[in-house]
Amino acid sequence: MKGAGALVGLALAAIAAAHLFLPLGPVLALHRSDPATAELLLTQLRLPSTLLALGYGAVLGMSGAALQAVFANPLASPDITGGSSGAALGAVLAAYWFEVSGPIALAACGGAGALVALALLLTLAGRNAAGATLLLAGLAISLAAGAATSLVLALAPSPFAFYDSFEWLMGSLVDRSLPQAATALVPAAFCCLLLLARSRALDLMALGEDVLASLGYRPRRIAIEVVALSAIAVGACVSVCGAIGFVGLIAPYAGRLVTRGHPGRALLPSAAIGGALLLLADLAVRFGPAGRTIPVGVLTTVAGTPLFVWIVVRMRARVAA
Amino acid sequence: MTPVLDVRGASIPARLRSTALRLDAGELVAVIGPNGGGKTSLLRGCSGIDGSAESITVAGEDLRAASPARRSHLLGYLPASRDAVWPISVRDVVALGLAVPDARRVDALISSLELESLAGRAVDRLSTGERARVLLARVLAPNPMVLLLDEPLSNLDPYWVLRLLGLLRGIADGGVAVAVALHDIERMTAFDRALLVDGGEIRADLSPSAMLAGREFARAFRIERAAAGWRLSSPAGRRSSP
Repeated sequence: MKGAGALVGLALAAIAAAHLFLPLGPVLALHRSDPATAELLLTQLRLPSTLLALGYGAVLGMSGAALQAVFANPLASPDITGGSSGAALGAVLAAYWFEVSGPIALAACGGAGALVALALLLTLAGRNAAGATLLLAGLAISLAAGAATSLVLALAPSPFAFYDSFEWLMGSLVDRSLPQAATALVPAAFCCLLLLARSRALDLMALGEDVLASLGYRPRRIAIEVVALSAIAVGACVSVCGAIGFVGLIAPYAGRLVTRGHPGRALLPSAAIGGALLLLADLAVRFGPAGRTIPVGVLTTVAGTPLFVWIVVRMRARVAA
Repeated sequence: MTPVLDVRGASIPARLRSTALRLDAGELVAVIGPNGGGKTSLLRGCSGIDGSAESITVAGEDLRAASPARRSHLLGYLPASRDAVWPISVRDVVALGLAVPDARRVDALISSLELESLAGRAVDRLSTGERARVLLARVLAPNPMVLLLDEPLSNLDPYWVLRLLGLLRGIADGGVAVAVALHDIERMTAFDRALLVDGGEIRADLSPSAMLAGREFARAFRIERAAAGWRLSSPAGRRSSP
């Protein structure tokens, strides 16, 4: 088990290094002519984006796994439940209407937006909602939050609001600074540690809430804590990088394959897989057409949709069986 | 003799009136009552899952002050729900009952509930009756001193009903207090004591034979003995509707 963990850590480090250094050609060329600028490129431009890809992916994986455990539903990821769109709405509202510009304040507004969306989901669908109910309630919330975000941008005092927020809205990790990365990742890491402390309880939740309560845990409180921690972690990342879809759905699914179905034990593997996925997706986007940047969120959504459909079909098969 | 389980003033708003319950070591107790009468609420209230209680002690130890690991040794609660969402293997579900991994204990339970051929299968793909046995094995795993089991016999075929009654008798003989919510009143004769729960309170606490002959039983269930089995009781004998 320790050996496997070390191996996964090494693989993750290798992917992160690839993300940091590739494509290598321009870096080497620059290093020959101007070593100081090359160093700056790596530490000021590439490093924040590598840290964000790793950290944001890990946050999506872990919070997705925790939300799925609490809702007892493999479709309950931060994006599909409306959490990410709520965070985007919160950040846009703060930035364009209330002229909030400090990254920490923006992150707080993102977290608040996600929290409102997830709280709405809890009241709309209930925590023990059937798969379809949860999905529909989440869909309604993300559509409403998406429309509200567009409305806020359309009516914003700045006429360029739509234009300059497009790339951010689609989910992008480029051109972020180290302080920005820290704003997103420090609170997120803190929340992830608190989520990890609940992994045994989330494993036992697989036996039902009454069993969990009979062992002295408080299922309702754990659920609220998990929802709040996930919202803060995802909200902080969204406020810096925009909403990135489907990583929070795919990573926990793969994470549970590693832990043979246990939802709580899957938190850490899901985080590792989420980090790796987002690093790879962002790396792939770099090799797109020259001169154009494809937002990484577009790629994850395009790649993730087939898996989403597959999970829905599998759930339908089980209900029918 | 001091009871193993001693519950005082357990109540759940709108479901369970303030109730005291004492179970002795070695007792196999049937909890019966009409639908919605409060069998599940009684078991949940006495497990400290829902509502409030003045005190719940197991062998003199405060249940609600115990750590989760300790609590699993004091009292085991089996809910009536057989739902399983995650594709966890049968062996792993049984192991979830143990705070400290113990492969031999898991093996012993798997063999006593004849789950060997299912051990590697995902629990969400089993039949309801098979899942019932797996979930029972989970609650038995930590050897709790008190077992509160909600409908452990439903969904089981006749072989397994008899096997489980024998198994529970063996566990009770080992000094465990076992309370079982039952739907099939014909099974009551296999128990030492019967509690009739109706209207959110314990209406009668008798031996099974006295219970079957008693007026409280006929009134709560609105049935009476007939030549072959049971029939609906005559309107005069039925509880007047509120």
